[in-house]
Amino acid sequence: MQDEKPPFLNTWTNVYLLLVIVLLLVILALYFITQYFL
Amino acid sequence: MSVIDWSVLIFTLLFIIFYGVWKSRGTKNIEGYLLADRQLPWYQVGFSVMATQASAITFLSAPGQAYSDGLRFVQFYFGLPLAMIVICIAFIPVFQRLNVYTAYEYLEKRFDNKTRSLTAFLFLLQRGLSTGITIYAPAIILSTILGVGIAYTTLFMGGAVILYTVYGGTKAVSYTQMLQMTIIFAGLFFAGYMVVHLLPKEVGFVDALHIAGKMGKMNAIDTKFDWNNRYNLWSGIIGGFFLQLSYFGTDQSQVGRYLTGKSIAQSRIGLVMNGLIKIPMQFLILLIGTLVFAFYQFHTPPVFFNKVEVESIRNSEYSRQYDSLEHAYAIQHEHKKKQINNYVLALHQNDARKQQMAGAALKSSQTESDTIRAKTLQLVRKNTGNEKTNDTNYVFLSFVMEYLPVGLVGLLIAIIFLAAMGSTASGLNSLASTTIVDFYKRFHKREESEAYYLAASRWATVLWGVFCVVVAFFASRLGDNLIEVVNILGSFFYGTILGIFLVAFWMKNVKGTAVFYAALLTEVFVMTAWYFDAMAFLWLNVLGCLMLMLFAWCIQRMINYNK
Repeated sequence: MQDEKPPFLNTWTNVYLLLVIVLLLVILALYFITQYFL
Repeated sequence: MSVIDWSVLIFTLLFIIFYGVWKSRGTKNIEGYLLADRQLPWYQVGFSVMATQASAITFLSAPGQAYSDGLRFVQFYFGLPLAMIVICIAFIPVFQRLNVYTAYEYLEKRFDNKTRSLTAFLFLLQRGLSTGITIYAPAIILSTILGVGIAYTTLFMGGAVILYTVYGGTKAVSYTQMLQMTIIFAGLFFAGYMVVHLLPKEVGFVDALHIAGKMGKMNAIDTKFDWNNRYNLWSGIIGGFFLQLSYFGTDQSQVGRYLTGKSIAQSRIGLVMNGLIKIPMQFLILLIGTLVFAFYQFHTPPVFFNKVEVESIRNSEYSRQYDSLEHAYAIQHEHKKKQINNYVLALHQNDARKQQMAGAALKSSQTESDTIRAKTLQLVRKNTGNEKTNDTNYVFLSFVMEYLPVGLVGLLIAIIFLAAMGSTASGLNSLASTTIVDFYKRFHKREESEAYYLAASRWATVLWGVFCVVVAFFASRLGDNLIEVVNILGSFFYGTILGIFLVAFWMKNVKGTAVFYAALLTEVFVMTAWYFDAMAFLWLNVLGCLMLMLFAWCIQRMINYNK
């Protein structure tokens, strides 16, 4: 079984980086929501 | 429920069952039955992984939890995307290249047979009990709707899942899960829309969030570190990471999903999809619960949502006390309504000073309501004799039944069933895989035909189905907040199992005997920590994993020294 390239973003490192960035953005957004509606 | 709701419910359930059976026809070997011939594309892997985790408990408990506790439960999932990355890098390539059927098969190749068997046994124990709970949750709903005993609904629920899982195996599970998730997303979208639509005309979506926020329900992030706080940013990221890594990396009910991918890349993208969607999805489910809370600020909610318990207390010696609490709650609610109207008015006038004053009055009014509700809960617990009784699972259901329009009620009830069927089917399938591959084929019948193992797998599915139904009968004694019961149960074993796999991947000098005894020792420590309430349950995963790695390393050093 071959370790293929991902279908987007060229490398798997970029795909994982995308996940981390999205996670950080989600946490920031939720932090903003928490503070805004306090 | 109306005839239309019943029709929607029955049609949806039958359609899913027949669809699963039809799509999985022609399975002739064990690889087809347990791993769908390893031919599924990424989106099917992704939906299957999501449907396996999202049980009926998710849709029953989570909105109720948001109603009483706010959004903070969302933090539980923060470790998930990070866990997906580690699984994509370390777990998937190893499992796929070794062509294993179960995760535990790998442990024999790396360590020895006793470590594989111990890990597989811990999985069977934990998953068998958890799957029983996932059958019990929707059984309560049907019981409430039909007014029949939970025993009958449990049998019906378990029977329906056993039917298509036994017939179609993993293919049936995956195909039905994809359809189930599509219907679930659509239904949740409509439910969210309807809650906002049912708010008074002068109250918009943002106003509802302001009201909920003022009463402490928009608490999505808590940055304060506390060992005993179940849900904060740090327990979510660190504890959640270990729990999710263990769940997705070593629990066969999940490993069996991504082993069906037709390549390493397809399996990985399926998990990345899960990492991207899971937190927003969970947030939206909790948000629906928060909106339901805002909705009930304009409509008097019951002081306790579980009608069966209310009926029981009305016929008990506590009847008078309950009536007086109910009356006090209704009066307090009317008083609170005035505060809410003042607050909404201040919001619309954009007057910061008025908002602050009205907000403070609203908060104190909410505290009084909470106190009455807490007293009621104590009284109900006194009546049931169960310290864990609460009504979290009934909040969303009560709202759906009472306020949503005809047709949507049937669809939402169907969603809860579909979610239960999806995760139960994966559970039964993985229990059968582990039983056959790690025990039956390994110890009892090593060389038999494909047809023989296929038949054995089907029988194993039936037997585990029966076991889970029996567990479901006793599930009500485990406490009413089922989502936490499942997670706490997982936390007993997940840390240890994860530790075993991490040692296998990254501590090449440690051998089987050291890991085996380290696992037994770790379980003693984890159980002791839980028994003495030393930390919130999420941290048990971290403790278990780190202790296992430490013990394994020490024991291996001792073995080497003695040699």
